[in-house]
Amino acid sequence: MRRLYVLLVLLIGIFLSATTIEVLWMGWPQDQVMQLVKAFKDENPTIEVDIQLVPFGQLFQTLEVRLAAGDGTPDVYIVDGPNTASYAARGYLLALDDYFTDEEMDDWFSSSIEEGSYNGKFYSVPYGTSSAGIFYNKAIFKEYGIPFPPEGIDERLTWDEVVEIARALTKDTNNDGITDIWGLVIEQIDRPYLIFPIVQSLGAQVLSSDGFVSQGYINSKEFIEGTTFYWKLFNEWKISPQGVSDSAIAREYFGTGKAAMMLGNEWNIRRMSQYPSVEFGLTPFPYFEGGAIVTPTGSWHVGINSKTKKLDEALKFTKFITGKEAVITWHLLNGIAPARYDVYEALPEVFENPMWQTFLYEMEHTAVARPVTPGYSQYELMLREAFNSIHYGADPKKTLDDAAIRIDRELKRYK
Amino acid sequence: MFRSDRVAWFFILPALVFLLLFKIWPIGVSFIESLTTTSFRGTKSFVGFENYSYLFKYDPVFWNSFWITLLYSAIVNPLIVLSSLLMALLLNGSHFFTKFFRTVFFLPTAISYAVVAVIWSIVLDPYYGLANSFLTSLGLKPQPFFASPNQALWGLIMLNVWRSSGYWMMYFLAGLQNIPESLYEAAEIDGASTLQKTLKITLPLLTRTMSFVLVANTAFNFLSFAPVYIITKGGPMGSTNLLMYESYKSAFVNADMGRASAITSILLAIILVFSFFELKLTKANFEY
Repeated sequence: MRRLYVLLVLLIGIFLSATTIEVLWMGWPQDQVMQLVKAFKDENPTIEVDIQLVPFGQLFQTLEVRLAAGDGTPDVYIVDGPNTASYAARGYLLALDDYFTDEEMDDWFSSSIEEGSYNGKFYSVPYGTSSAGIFYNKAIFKEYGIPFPPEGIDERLTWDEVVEIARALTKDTNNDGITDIWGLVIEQIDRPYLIFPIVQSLGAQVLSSDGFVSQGYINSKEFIEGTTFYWKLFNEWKISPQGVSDSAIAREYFGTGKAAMMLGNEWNIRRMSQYPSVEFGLTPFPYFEGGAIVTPTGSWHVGINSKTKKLDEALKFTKFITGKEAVITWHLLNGIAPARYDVYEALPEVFENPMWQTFLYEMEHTAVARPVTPGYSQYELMLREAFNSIHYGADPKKTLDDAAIRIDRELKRYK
Repeated sequence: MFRSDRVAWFFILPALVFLLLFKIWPIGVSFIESLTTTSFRGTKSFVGFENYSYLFKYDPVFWNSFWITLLYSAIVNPLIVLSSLLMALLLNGSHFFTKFFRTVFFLPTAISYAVVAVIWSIVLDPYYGLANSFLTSLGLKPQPFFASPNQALWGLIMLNVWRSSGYWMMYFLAGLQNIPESLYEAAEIDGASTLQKTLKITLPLLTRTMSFVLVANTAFNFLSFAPVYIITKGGPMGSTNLLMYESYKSAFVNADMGRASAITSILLAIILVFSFFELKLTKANFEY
C-alpha cells in the first residue's frame, strides 16, 4: 500500500513537472513523425511535445503568421534552409553559436552549416540536405529500344541529349491524340530549386550578391535563355506534362510508368518503394554543352524561437531530432539525405548504392546553394508564380520582367 | 409615430454599436494601413498614396487581377440571380416534390465552401477526374479544366453558381410568399395567363427582394476567396487571380500589409459603386 502511495506521488510529480513545448513541423506522414516524437518522450519523460504538422503548401504562411504574433510559440520550428536569413533578420530565430560545441558542429556538412547561418551566426540546425538527378524507367527504355542513359558522373548528359531521348520516349500508345507516356516529368514543377541549376548552367546569377536586387539577374540574357529552354519542354517539344503541380503526382507519373524520366530528388531512391513494379536507374543532373555543371542542394533545418520561454526543453528537442540516432531513423523512414557524416558511416549498406554515391558526389562537388536574402520567401514565391505561368506558355521574358519589378519592391523593404 | 428622432436612434443603437465596432472601424483601420508601409522589422511608416500609385502605375499583376475580378463578377452575379430566381419560381408551391427539390437545391449551400472546392477539384481533375472519364466514355476529348488558363475561371464560376443558387433561392421564395394571394385572384378573374401573372405581378413585386439579393450577392462574389485559394492558387497564368486572393497573398505570404490594404480598399470602392447602381436600378417606388 505504502509503495503504491509513493508511486502515485511520484507519478503526480512527474505529471506536474512536465513541460510542454510546441513544435511546428512539416506535414510529413504522421505515423513517421510520431515515431521520432515517441523516441524523444521515452528519453525525456518530463517533456511533453505538442507537434503540429502543417502541409507543405501552407507551411510558410503558417510560420509567418505564428512568428509575427511574437508570443514565443512555437518553441521549435522547421525551417526551410534558404529561409534562415529571412527569419534571422527579423529576429525570429535564436542564435545558436553558444549552445553547440565545435565538436558538435563538425558532425554536419559545412555547406549545411552555411545554409543555416546568416551574417556569420549559426541560426538553424541542419536536419537534412538534398540533391537531384534524372531517374529513368528501365522498362520503358527497353521497350522502345533506347539505350539506358549513362550513370557515371563523367558521362553526364547534356540537356540537348536529354531532350532528344525524351522526345523519342514521349508516346501516344493508343493513338487517341493524348500523350500516354511523357518523356520527362519534373518532380517540383515550378520551384526555383530545380530550375536554378538549368539557368546557372548557362552562367546566370540568380540574385545580386548582396541579396537585394533581382532586376537584371532574373531577367538577364542567360536566365531568360534557360527559362526559354524550360518553356520549350512543355510548349514546343511537349515532352513534359503541364499542371502537375503536386510533387506526389509527379512521382506517381514516374512510378506508374506514365513518364520515362523524372527530374527529381534523392529521396526517391527510398520513396519509389511505394511503386514496387518500377525498375529505375539514375543519371546525373544534366548541363548545357559548354556550360557549367550545377546541381541543387539544401533542405530542412530546425530553429528555436528567439522568444521561447522553454529554452532548455527546446534545445533538448532540437539536439535530439537533429542527432545521429533520430536522423538515422528518419532517413530509413523518409529517405531524405542526411546532413551528418556519421549517419553515412552508420548506414554503409544504404549509401554504398551507386545512386547515393552519385548524389554524394554532387553534394560535394557540383552543388550550388540557393541565394541568401532575408526576402527569400517573397523572392521564391514570386519566381515560382513566374515559372508556373511560363510552363503554361507565358512569354519568359515578359513574365520575368514583371516578376523582377514585384520582387524588388519586396526586397527593398529588407534593406 | 415618435415625436423625436432620438427614440429611433435608441432602437438602432445595439445594431449600430456592432456595425461601428466590427465593420466601420476595421474599414477605417485598413484604409489607414493602406497609406503605410511596413519594414521587415515591423515598423510602420506613412507613405501617403504610394501603395496606390504603385498598384496603378507599376504593379504587373494588379490590372490583370482587377479585370479578372470584374469579368468574374459580371458573369457570376447575373447567372446566380437568374438561376436562383428561376428555381424559386418553379419551386414556389407546397406539393411534395417541390418541397423535396427545394431541399435538394439548397443542399450545396449547406456544404462548406472549402469542401465544395475540394469535391469539384477532384471531379474536374484533368487526369483522374470523374468529368473527364465521362467525357471520354462519350468519345469526347478530355478537358484540362482548372489546369487551363482559358477554362479555370469558368470552372470557378460554375462551382459558385452550383453552390450559391440554392441559398439565394430561399430569399426569392420568401419574397414570393409575401405577395398577397388576392392579387393573383383578381388577375385570374380578369383572365390573365400564368405568364402574364408572372411578368406583371410576381416579378415587379419581387423588386425589393431582388434589390437585396443583387447587392448582397455582388458584395459576396467580389470577395470570393476560398475556391481560388483551395483549387487554383490564382493560376494558371494568373487567370483566376481574383483581387481578394491577391490581397491575401500580399498580406500573409509577402507580409506587404500596405499593398494588401490598398487592394481591399479599392475592392471596397468597387463594391460601393456597383451596389449604388444596383440599388438605383431596382428601386421599388410602390407599396403593396
